[in-house]
Amino acid sequence: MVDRKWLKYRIRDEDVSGDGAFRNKTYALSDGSEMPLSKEECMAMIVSRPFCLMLENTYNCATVRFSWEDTKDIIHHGILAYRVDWDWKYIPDHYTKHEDELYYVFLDPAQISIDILEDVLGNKAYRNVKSTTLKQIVSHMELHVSSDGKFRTQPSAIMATVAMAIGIQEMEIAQVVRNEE
Amino acid sequence: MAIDHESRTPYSESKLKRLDMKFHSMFAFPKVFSELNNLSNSKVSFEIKMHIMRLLEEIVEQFETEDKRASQEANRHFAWAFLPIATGWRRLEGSDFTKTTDGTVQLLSTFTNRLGNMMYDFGAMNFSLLTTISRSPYGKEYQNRYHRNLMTMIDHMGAQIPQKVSTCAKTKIFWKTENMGLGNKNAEEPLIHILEALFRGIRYG
Repeated sequence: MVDRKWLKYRIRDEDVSGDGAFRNKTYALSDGSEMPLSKEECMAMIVSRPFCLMLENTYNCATVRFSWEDTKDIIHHGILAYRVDWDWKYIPDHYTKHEDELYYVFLDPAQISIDILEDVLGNKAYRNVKSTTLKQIVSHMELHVSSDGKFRTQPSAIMATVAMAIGIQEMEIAQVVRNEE
Repeated sequence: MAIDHESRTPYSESKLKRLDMKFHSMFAFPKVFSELNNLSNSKVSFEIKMHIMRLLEEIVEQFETEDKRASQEANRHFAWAFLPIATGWRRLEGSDFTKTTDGTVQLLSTFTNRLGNMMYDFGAMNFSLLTTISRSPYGKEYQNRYHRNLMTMIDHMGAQIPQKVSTCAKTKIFWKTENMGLGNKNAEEPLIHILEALFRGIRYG
């Protein structure tokens, strides 16, 4: 492959990825629509139809904030990042309390591959796994990973409340596979 | 008997105490059955309350039976996979479900797998509640072997959900997010009251 790292010094950072290749300007969803990858356009799109997601919101114990800083390097995989605070007011200092934790939202979960879970989100628990199920929102927080380290798929009150705060009324679950070599 | 706002569960005081004690000794939540029994029907409907109490009773009785069996057989550990509730869930298949005209997935009326049915009814609530119980009242680092077995069981059962409700590669989960969560201050979901009953009497700090 041609080494294009020098391009980093000639064009804007957001237009080139770590290996020097040009980044796509949009992310193609399976319904044919396209998600722009620049900050302003992306934020404008996620708050409008069909996504209608919140950039900031509080719902019961969950406070969510869309984070462009954490999103900008993964948006081309169709992943948004939110920072989440969770505090169960009924029991102060409950063990589930957390602040500023990263939660990832998949715009199109069926398009995610196991390779993306490993290489982009850094979850190494899928070694030797060729097919798995994936919930639309995941987090590395130990509340949301199972004992073998995979992202949990079963219903969870905390995740569901976070989803409601983000604006996801119906959580998608997708069957995802590893990219063929 | 008509079920109304005032309906009481059929659990006697002595049975509630016995179940509370068993549940406490296994999962360290002190008075779950009594607290659920005392929940007002206006906060959690009688039907849901009875369902959750029966589910937790099944869990505690099955764990006790399996525990006894494991202690009597030297070469046999506690096996969550053999619990009737786990096998009942495992036996649920795509062909047991039917899609209604509005797209909702329902169990066929001829379905006779009682424990599979029990886990499917109010399924989001069951999974959320059992996951919370499996982490112990104080979090993962304070889990005992009952919590750990329950957690492994629920993780495995949860991972099977999509295969049971659809064979499509991509499926909308059959539970709406709002039913899984705690609701907001305008419309609290029953689960928040059930969790409050679960944690009543637990002290932190």
